[in-house]
Amino acid sequence: METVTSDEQIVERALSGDGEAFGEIVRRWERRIFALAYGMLGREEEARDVTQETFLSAFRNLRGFRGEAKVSSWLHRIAVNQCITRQRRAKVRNESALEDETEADGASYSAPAHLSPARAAESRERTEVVRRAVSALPAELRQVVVMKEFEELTFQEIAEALDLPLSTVKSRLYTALRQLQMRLQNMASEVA
Amino acid sequence: MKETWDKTMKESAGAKECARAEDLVAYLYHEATATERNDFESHMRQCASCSEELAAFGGVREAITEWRNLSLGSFASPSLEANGARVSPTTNPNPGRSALAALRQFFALAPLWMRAATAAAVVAFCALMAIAVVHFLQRPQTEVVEKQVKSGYSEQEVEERIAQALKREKESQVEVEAAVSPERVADSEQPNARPQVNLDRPGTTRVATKGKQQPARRNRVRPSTELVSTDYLPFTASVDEEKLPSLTDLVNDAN
Repeated sequence: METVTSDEQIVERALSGDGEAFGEIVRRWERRIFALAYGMLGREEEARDVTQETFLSAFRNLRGFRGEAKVSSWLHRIAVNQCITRQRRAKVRNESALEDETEADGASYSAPAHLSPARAAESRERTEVVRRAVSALPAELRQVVVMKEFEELTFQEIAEALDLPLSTVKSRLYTALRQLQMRLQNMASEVA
Repeated sequence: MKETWDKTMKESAGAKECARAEDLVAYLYHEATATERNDFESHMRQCASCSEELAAFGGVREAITEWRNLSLGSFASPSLEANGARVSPTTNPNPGRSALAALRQFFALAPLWMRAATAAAVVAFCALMAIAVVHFLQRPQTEVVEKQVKSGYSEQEVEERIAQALKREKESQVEVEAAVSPERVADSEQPNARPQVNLDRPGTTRVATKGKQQPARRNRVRPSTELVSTDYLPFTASVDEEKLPSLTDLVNDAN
């Protein structure tokens, strides 16, 4: 019977000199961190960069991991910070990355094969509206939405990752959902 | 579907916020306990705002889920899936990988600037190591040379050399005095002759200056540098000089 090794045990192995251990952490969390970054940034290329930088940063600061939080929370926090930093840089450069490449990103979606061309086009249009609405949220709201919807973390896990009170996470998510609802409504009206 | 979604959005957009917003979110994401669920469901029967928001938020969630599935479903995993590694939260798909392979895989994730910085650091480190090695190799040689120089002349050897030099000096002086003492007498008869100095040495020539009463100018070729030290040894007492009257005697005679 195969035993399940926890992330914390793997980190301990990495700290004790096991060269393979950190690769295992990367394999476990790479896709979820990528999903988080993609949800936050809205662009595949930037999400890949943030994913790489997140694991590099985690590797460099491995000895600073105290084990007070979960490894997953620690990684998510690093990823969120990386996303926020990247967005700030883009803002300074006056590059609205999420707004400028709407067409390019929209083209990267592939609608399910079973949908008719008309339904596939409608699906792409709707997802593009959602993407823009999420991207337009303030960072502190967007990160909560992404962590909940893209990574399906619990409120407690999000609170640990962002070092926030549980009630703050819930209220931020509520506010985010309300804003998304209004934005989606406005965007749907504009499209119609 | 689109009409239903738009209708839900419009209906709930104007709803007022209820004080139980956090309970609504917990209920929406199925994180409320059984008691909390029952409590909130009974609340919703009386609160139209919460009911409308719950429906609207459900629509938002559906839209986000659709976006997530479409976007993430179309992307391959950033790197590891391309390498054939399996993404699994619980198992180790490749337990036999070496540390080198893990490091290579890790740096495959590194951006270009990180690789360039690493390369620059490696080059700088190698240069420093080369300088340190060269410095280390040169230092002992210098010490050896210094030791050799120091050990070339011991105190005893120096004393021996001094003793030999003094002996040679004394011997040469005695030889010269013995060889030239008759000539000194002749020289002393000339008025401007230097009475006390015996300058003739092997290899020197004396220039005769008859009638001009000029001192004989030396036109000598020094046989070696050893003789130089004796050129300026005036007032070296000779046997003839000891026979000369002293100044005191002359004064007494005059009186």
